[in-house]
Amino acid sequence: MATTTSGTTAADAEPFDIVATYNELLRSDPDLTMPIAAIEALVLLLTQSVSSTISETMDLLEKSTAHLKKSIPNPIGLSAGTDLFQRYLITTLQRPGLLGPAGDFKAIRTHLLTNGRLFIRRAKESRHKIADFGRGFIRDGSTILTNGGSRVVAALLQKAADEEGGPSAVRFRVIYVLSSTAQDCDHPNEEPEGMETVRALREKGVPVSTIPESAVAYSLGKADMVIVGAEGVVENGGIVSRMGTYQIGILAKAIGKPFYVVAESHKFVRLYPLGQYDLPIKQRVIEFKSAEDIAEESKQDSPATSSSGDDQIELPLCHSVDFTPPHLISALITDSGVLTPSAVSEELIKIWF
Amino acid sequence: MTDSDPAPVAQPAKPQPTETQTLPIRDSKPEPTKKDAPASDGAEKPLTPGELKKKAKAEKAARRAREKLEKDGGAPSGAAPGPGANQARPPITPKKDTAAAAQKGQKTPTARRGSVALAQSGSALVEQKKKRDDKKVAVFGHLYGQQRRTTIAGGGKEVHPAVLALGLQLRDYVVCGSSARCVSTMIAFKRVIETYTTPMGTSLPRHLTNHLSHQITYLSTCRPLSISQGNAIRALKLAIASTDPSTPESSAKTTLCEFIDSFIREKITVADQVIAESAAQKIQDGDVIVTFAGSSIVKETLISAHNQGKRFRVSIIDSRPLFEGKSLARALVSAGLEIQYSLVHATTHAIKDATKVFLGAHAMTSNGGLYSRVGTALVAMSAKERASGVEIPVIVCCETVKFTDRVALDSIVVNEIADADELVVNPSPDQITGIPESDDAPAVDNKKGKPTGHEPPAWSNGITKSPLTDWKTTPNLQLLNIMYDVTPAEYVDMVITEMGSLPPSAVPIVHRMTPISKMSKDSSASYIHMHQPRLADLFEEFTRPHTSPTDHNDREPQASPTTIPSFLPVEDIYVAPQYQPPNPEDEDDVVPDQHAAFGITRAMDRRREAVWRDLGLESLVNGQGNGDAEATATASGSGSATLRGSGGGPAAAGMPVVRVKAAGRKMGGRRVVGLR
Repeated sequence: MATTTSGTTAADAEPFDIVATYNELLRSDPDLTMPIAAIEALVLLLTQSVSSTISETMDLLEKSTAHLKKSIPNPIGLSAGTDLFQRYLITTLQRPGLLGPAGDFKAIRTHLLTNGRLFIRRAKESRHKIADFGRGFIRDGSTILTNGGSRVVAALLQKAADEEGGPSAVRFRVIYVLSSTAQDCDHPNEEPEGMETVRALREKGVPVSTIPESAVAYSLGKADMVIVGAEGVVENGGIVSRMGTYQIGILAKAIGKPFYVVAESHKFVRLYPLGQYDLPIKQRVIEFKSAEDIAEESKQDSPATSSSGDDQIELPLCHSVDFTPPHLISALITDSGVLTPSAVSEELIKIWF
Repeated sequence: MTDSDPAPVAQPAKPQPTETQTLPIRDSKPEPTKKDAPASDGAEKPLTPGELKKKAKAEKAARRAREKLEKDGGAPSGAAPGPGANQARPPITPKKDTAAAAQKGQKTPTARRGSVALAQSGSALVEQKKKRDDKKVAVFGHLYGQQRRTTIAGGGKEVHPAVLALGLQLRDYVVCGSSARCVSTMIAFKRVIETYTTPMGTSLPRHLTNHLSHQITYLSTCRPLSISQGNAIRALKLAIASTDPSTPESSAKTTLCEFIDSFIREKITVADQVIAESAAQKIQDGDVIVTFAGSSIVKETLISAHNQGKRFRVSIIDSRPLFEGKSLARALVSAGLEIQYSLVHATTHAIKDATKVFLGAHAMTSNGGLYSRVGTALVAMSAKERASGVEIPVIVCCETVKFTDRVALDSIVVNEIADADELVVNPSPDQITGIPESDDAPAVDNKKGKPTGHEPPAWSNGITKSPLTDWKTTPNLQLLNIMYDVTPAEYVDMVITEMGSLPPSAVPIVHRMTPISKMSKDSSASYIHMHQPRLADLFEEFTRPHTSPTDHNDREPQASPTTIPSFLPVEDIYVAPQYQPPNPEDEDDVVPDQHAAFGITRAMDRRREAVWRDLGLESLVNGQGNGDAEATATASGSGSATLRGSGGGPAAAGMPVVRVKAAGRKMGGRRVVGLR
């Protein structure tokens, strides 16, 4: 984090580019989640800005948030962070006393910045907290099916693996679903996401089996539970997650295996999708083509991919997401405890009102 | 006059049949009679003293007759004339109605049927009574309460004319719909407050509540109060009760009127706009929206989506007997939308190509159930259990003022039964084709073998009547006209309120946060959570009233009063008048008397704690990370007193902090005693 801060302050002269900062933050720290990166970017923005009044600050924040949301193809995870930060600012500023509207603005700003940093640090720590909560779910002799490249799930599994020093106090096995779509996008030659976790787990003595998505239904009979990560937890307790999570959820429900979601509470996002096609992102998963269309496309070739107007940028297929409705989820393991899906809305309401 | 006057004297049965049968006056002929009823009321008013006397006599006779009947029949008093024997009011009304009708020489079905009963004798009475009970659907037996009021007579002198008029409008569904009822009630109460003067020897906060409860009682006899009305009344009473008795009457009244205005604005008007706005966002081009009956907020939503240039179709499902969907269809068509209108039997057909279902609500219960016009559940369930494929999202638009802490598991325990005669369809008088049929009155007479003193009403001649017309005399036929049903939470995907979109499971949480709910103890959250036993000790230590310093020193020599946060002995605590619990006698059942005290003080503390608690933000905001903890602590002192743990653990790791809200401390002494 220190490096990124110095990196951006070096570029002091030119106007602060929130999108670039956000992307840079995400790239520089593999452990950073989207909401946290967004908050960090906003904190950096406030450090850079010369605003001297509250309304100016709020205005700046709003504008850059909107800009950031527009420029990122999948703003769901990110908006959890920006909303949270905005809410935090408002509540802080509404407090009576020195830090309230009557107080010294400079003091308020330094206070915000310090606390913003602290918040980021704590948010990173929350992964360990979740691992502590979730450890109890992994029993001796159980088999866990998981997917995607969630860092929280990885942290949880690894924590369970190196329990109490010795090699794997809890003996469990992992069935890792490797996505086929995630491969061919930014880095076509890279291994599918999750391989790193697989290797780390095998290192720790956990037997891991990797299966393709098509084998989920086949393998679920051997699994005891499903644990998945999430990009965002929405208001009704459902999750927005890597494409393929929804079908695992449906299968788990059909077969009668518990389906747990591991997510930090800063991923709770104020969003209420009614179904798969109600997400505020544009992704072209289903595409109907005839032979003619394909011929047409191959003629034009390149511009088809970057035909974005001024509204939402399209999400590439490898990063596509789906929505898992709450009734498929058994429980959410978060840093504020293990919650039922319906408790999520309670948490969100507590934050927002 | 001559006919109806001796009737009660000679015939104990008289009040009973008339009571039930006055209702057909308004219901059998929906449109024209609605106008008739108030008209006849108006005609009643200028009665001569002689007539009044006669009427009073008739009333007395009726009462006596009923008492006699009860003795004869040996049946519990509550069974037959719903209202209960000690209330003189309800029996009066039908009686008077008949009298008035007869006076005017009007030949109404009432008078006609009344005369049937007239000829019955003692044993037949009991039989008749049994028959009346037969007409109640057994499962819903508990819901047949008082008959709805039919006139404004007997409303009591305290009832304001505006409220009298409103009552009738409510009864006749002129004012219909949860929001409309709530708003009109509040406006009527504003009138009441405007014309109110505090009598000598009482104070406004104490007497006005009492005065209002007369109005409320009157309204509830016209039609059972809706949840929204109840919540609004509760809020108003809260506002009245928290008025400082020392404020001059005029300014207190102005404040209350402003309160009503802002309540309507905040809870209904603006809330509706916000809901319509956010619900409209859920409508997309090409949608087919299904809605049931006529909800004002759904109407606003659809119109605002239409105004945003969205292209979608609306399918309205409607049902008898109120046909609320008709006015919705009319409004939407005139706004330029494309409408399909069908009745409830065509639900599956309408649902077939629907993409979303929008529903209004009468209330949302604490278990997430949607309590709405009967038929709603059918629509919601068919949306979720479509024979073909994908479920359709069911979206409910509902203001938070309609949330209740009640729980509804089915539609049977809590419901409202409307007059079953509403179900009897009568063709409109200007219908010209149809088989002329002999009137029902002679038919009834023939059956009973008694002659009538009245001719059948002229309008009924030559009109086909519904086969249900005679349902009251047809054996084994019961009509059920319930008003509401409950849609279980699992059939509702989303509730759009002015506070945002929620899953139905979040209803109790939101309800708990609204100040109205704090009136009742059941729904209020306790706000001191002690995670460790040590904290409980600490709290106890803090709240322990010390009557004398010696006693204190005996027990704990080292803990001198300086280390313990100071507090007053109970008797030294001055509780300002506005914080004192209101006189229990002034309260009606809307506010459970004891809890009112809690509610009022709690409601005073409107400022909500900002919570970002997942990440320990509370302590962050308190400035722990910054070192300016002291400043923040003192600064935030106005809202909540923070006191550091003194006796028990040092402020090391978690920093044991007991938070006691300011409002809690005001009531301090009293509650402390309770806690111990």
